[in-house]
Amino acid sequence: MTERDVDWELVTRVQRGDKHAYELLVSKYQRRITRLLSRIIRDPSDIEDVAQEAFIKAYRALPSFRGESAFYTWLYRIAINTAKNHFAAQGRRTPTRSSGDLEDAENFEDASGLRDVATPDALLLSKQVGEAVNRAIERLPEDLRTAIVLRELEGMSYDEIAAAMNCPVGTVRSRIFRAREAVAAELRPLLGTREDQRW
Amino acid sequence: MSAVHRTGRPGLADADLEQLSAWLDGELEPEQHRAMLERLKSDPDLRAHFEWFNLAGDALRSQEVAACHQPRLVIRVREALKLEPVRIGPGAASGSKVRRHLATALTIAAAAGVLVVVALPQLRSTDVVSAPAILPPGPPGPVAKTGPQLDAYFRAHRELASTGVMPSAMEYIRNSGEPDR
Repeated sequence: MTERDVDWELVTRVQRGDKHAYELLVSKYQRRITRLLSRIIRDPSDIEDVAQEAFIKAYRALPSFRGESAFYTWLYRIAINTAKNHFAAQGRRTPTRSSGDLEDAENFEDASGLRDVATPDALLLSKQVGEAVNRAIERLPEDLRTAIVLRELEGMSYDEIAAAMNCPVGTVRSRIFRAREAVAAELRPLLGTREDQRW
Repeated sequence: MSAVHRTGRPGLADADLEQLSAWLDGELEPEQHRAMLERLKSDPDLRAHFEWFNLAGDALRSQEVAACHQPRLVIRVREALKLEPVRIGPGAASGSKVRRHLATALTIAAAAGVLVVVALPQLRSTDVVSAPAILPPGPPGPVAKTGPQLDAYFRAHRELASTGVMPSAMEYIRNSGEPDR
């Protein structure tokens, strides 16, 4: 089973009527969708509105999703279309950010190809996140650092990481978990809010 | 410090969180995978960790993406979802990817079966273009026109299109070029 299979399993659960499964997908992808929209839409409150609308539209369309593409790819297109409709509803033909961004967005798997016009606050937070991650990674023992980098940045499976690191799969699993805990612990003071206690 | 409850959250052992971490990576066996999904439905602490582990992954890949953390959005979507009717789709019939692929394979197999039953006899019979002897007696069919030019044409045609599936139509084709008398 791969990460994409996990998404597909969540999708099929939603298609069987399980709304909780959809909340997990929203939770997983909300930052990537918000990031994508933040590179197209200027007003932060509009970004959140459009993101919410995109997630609800995706939920309504989910019965027709058959898994030919990755769930995120499909969701991404819905977000782009929702942003287009947002501008159309406002009577604007082009996005407020940079002309052509929407067209560009359709050609990228994520938002990395779009021009970055983040607000100073967003830039500061982004910088702080980067520093927190670097601190966490530097403090990690070498074996944990290697395992998490191979998993999160290289996308390797546990079997592949075990072969690369010459250790059992169970050890890889434990190392990745402990590395995740360490990175999350470093991010909590920065990004944790009372709203995180929503579950 | 307890090795079991290093997280400081009662009820959540490291083993649970390690399993959650492996689940995120799609590295659990199907049975464990299903159990984890059920637990995520009912365990708010586990769901909070689900979010933090995802956030850690996002932060490692892109600090800009992680900085877009908007807990309020998830709350808003959840509230909006409450107003939505339950959506039932094809996943209701096919519970897993394996079953989905199996259904596709069965469809292809059925199509191939139909092809073998219907088309293969036709393909085989192209060698016997004029086989009136094996036809059951019935009303007289059209009489084939003859002529050296037409014969040469059909010989060449058969050589080029050896897989024709309508040999019995040849008589009609022959006659169609002739004016009715």
